[in-house]
Amino acid sequence: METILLTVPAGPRGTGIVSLVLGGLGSRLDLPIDRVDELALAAEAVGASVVGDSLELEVTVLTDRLTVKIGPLGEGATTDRRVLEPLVDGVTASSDAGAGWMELELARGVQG
Amino acid sequence: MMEVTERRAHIDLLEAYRLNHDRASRDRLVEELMPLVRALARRYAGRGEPVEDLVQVGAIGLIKAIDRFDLERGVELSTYAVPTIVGEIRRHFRDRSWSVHVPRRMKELSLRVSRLVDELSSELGRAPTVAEIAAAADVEEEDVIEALETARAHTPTSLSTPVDASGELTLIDLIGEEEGGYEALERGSVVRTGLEGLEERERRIIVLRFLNGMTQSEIATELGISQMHVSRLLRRALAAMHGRLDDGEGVPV
Repeated sequence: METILLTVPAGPRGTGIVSLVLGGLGSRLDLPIDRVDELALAAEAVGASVVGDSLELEVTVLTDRLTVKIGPLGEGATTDRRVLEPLVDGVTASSDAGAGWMELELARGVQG
Repeated sequence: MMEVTERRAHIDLLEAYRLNHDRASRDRLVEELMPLVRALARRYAGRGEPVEDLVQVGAIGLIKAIDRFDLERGVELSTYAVPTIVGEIRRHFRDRSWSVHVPRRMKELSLRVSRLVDELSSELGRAPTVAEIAAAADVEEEDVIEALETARAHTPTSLSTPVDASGELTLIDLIGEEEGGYEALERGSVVRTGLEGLEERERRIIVLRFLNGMTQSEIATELGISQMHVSRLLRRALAAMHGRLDDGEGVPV
């Protein structure tokens, strides 16, 4: 298992960095670019609901999948899970210390 | 105004092409409609691209229009073909326009990568990996990642952006109308709230991806645009949806 922790400014500049990191990781894991692109797209969509000045990202690389946890999200953040679900292989919402977090999951393997 | 005999001749040629797979009939149609392509290409003269190149890409649009034209539509083939021809010409320009300053080397690599993505997707039956693109382009993987990010910074184009000088034709006109997805949308209401926030004509790409379950590559083929362009349009549409949902009309997580 490998973990990547990243704190970037909230907003388009920060989500751009997130996309770049996920792109690099996807390349190293040999994932098809459209799957990585849609993971980045989902991460950007969630990232747009972050409250405060910073976006926090935790990427965990497991043997069969990678997970991307993003937050902190405000109460009642409005990224519709049903929009995210077609883009990735799993979406889990959680709350921690009064803030919401969204975890996106992508199965590894070329065909996904 | 088109002569009735000319219109009849076009219909006859189309029927011969459709029913008998007579490619010579299609070639005749292309020849007959090339003056229209040239006229449309000349509208875009003096914008940095040779007119002959514009005529060539316009001709591709004409062939697409002939292939897609529905004889039951009740409109002239030439009328139907105009947005498709103009769309190809605009795409040609779009592939050469950038919203941010990008070094020339990276622009060229990004265009090359964008084309390789489509070629490799078609060859492999799935989207390629960065390593596969790097091997095909004979560059380092890091260069491909940078080129892909550069492509995303490329001017996003709205489906409702006018694609002709009059401003009456839009990219969505290239896409056509017939699509069962809207009914599915009405039935399922899956992302209806968010979609209501989009312009009517921007919905289709979302419908194809989220309701019809098509991949970006499949949508690209369906709409006759590149996979990278589908990616940009999806980003734009999702951002617009997010704005709408943020107005308090969304479904909370």
